Amino acid sequence: MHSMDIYEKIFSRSRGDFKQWLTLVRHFYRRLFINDVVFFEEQMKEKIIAVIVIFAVFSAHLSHMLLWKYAWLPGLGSLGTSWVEKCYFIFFLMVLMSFIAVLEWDVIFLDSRDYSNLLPLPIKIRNLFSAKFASVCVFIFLFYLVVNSLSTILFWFYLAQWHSSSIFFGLRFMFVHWISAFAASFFAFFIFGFLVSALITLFGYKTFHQISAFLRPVLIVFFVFMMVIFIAESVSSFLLFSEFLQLKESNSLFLYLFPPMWFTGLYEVLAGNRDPLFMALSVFAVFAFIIPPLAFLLTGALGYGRYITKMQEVKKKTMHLVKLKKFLLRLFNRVFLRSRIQRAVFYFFGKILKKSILHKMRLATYLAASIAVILVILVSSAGIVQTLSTVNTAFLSIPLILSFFLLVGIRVIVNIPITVEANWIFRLTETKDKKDYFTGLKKGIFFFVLFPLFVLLFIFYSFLWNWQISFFHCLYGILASLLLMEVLFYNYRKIPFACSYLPGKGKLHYFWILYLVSFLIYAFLLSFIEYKILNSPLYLFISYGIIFILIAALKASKKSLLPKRLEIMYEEMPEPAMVTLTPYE
Amino acid sequence: MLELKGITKKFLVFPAVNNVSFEVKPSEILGYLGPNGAGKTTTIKILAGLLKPTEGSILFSGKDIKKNMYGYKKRIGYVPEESEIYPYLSAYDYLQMVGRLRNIPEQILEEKIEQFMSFFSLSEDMHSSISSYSKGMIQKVLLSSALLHNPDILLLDEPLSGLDVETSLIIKDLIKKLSREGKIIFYCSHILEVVEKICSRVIIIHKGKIVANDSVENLRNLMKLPSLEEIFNQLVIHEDSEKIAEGVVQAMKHHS
Repeated sequence: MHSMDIYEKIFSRSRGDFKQWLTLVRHFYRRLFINDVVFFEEQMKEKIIAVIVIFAVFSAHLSHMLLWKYAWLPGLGSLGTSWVEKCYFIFFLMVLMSFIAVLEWDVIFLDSRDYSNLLPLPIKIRNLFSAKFASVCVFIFLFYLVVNSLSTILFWFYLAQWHSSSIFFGLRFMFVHWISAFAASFFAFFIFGFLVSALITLFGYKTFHQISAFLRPVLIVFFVFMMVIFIAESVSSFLLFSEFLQLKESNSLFLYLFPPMWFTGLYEVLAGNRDPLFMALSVFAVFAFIIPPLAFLLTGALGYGRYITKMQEVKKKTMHLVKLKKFLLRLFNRVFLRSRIQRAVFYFFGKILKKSILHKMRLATYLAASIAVILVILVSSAGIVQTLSTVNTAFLSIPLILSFFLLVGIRVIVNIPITVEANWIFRLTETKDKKDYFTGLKKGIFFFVLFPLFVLLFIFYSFLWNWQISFFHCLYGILASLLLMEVLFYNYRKIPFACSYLPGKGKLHYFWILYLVSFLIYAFLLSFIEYKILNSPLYLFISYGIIFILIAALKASKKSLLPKRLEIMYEEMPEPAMVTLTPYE
Repeated sequence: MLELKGITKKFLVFPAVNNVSFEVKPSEILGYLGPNGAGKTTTIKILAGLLKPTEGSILFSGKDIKKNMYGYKKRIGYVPEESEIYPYLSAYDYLQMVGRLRNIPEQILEEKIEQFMSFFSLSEDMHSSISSYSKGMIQKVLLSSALLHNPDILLLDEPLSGLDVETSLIIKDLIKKLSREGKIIFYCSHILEVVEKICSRVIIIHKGKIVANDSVENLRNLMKLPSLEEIFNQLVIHEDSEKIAEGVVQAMKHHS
């Protein structure tokens, strides 16, 4: 009887523990959809379904693009080269999962909100940590399950049904496809999980955040770029993978160093291929499946104590402004920012752009998209790019494409408020002349974004061509960017990052043609004109003059057309449900 | 003098503040008391020009503030109740931004920020992000931002919230000193003891309406009650606090 009591006590305690653990897993799982970059708190279900459907349909489309030839040429399957398509698809899944891991970067590990809310509660550290790990595993599993479901069927349909019509064979094939691709996705996610926990363990919380602030946007840019390549250039990028057939013949070392090949090896071996190369690669895959999650757990446990103590501390940073820096800032303010309101808005814009991860990430996606477009253009116009030293339209369009995406990105992100309830300070200190607020913002965009961009481009083109051509080219690009900035901010009536906004006001679904045509005119027509006149200083100066006049005309029209007493729009109002055609409104 | 005449603020059809009228003279510290949801913050936001009243007007030096809102806003300093502040900026960045928005010359602003930060023992942390500050530190930054431009009217909504004992004492003395300098001080709080000590006059608001408006001394005599707490209980609290406490204890014991 006594021992029964003990058993009951232990059982009820472990049942309580398990309930607590399940609650934590659910909590952490939910937190994966609410972080610095991914914010699905409102309409969470709808947004998750939308994102997953997009990825699932896209991965199915990619599978179809890769494999449809097998439906038309059944003999192709017997050549035993389908592993190249499998490798390409696994590579895509790994990129996708890595991208998701970078988006979830700040919540892969326990964060300050978790600590401040959960530490005072009677929760065992073991429970806290294992629940976090389990929630990440559940997230990967469910995400993968939905994204890869259609592709699994397509892979079976195109590759397996020609070998055998047996249901058992089909199910086995689908299982093999599913498990190999899952191992690859698991590896890709936990490589970044390991990176996060290793950075925390090695450098501590403060340095981790400093490194993250730089590393995360770079990774986002890279992965968005990769995704754009998968979408826009799936055929030509697949051609690179066809080279793998020759690499296999020569038993190239590259195949051993390229992680998607490990999981392709596993795929082939599980499907019954006994090729020595695949056998060797499958061993790599097994280790790759096990080691990153283990390393994540191990480094996480090591860094845990350190993280927990660092998280509790108030960050203390003493920064003594060097006298020279102060002097230079004062000089800069006197020359470029004469009005104090301009200064306030200018530095506010700069600080938020520097420190807000959400805004930085959003802008990084625009930058990534622009880089992808540039690469697509350079690859597709390989003929004229062969000689780098000659001036050509493809290279001339680079600054315009970059500035277009960046300016559009800024136009979008300045609308997204940061702590909207803190904007009372702007309301309280508002002045009569609103022009200074908008001028401060435009100067901020120029000095924090456009100027550094064109300095880098000037150096790039100076190496590519010579500094004179580079200078005139960059000047043309800067003027064109300023013109675009005037157009984009013509109706802007807000203080950047400080006013509420209603998403979807850009009406992309209605006006996408207009945006596309604007982009084509801006990036390609202007670079074509520049190409024609770059050798003639007279025409070049005339073009500068025309752009300058257009900027001045826009400013003048703004002064005369818009109401004299502009109001800053702190609260964005929804558009009326019914739009009338009354001309007096 | 700051005068409120028949101020009403309705959210949809519900009045948060209902026909409120009072005045505050220079050198006067007016305590504005009331339970949660009584309309204190709505009143102070109307006074700061952040909310427009549905009815009524506010006069400053005899002139309707609507006629020169910019001029009026230049003369007020406001400390909000909640920590409504940009967490991505440091205290230095925030005060510099506020100073610039208030059009304070750079050199003077720089000196003022350093002095304020030093008085409030924030010199070491003034370049760290506000997101890493405690509630008290944020309150110090908000107080500094309200005082930077030497305002004539100070609107303080729970200014001692989260402050340590030492800083609270400094702020209380500071408020008294500012009133002697001729400033109009509107002090909104839950802490009755502080209001009793520093305010020359008290307004008690309940469900959007003023239920008392007099000096603490007069209220005590009038109601024949020994303290402001007793007066407040008499006027505003109609629930049996002991009964509620008993209920809470019973709920605690349930299942344990």
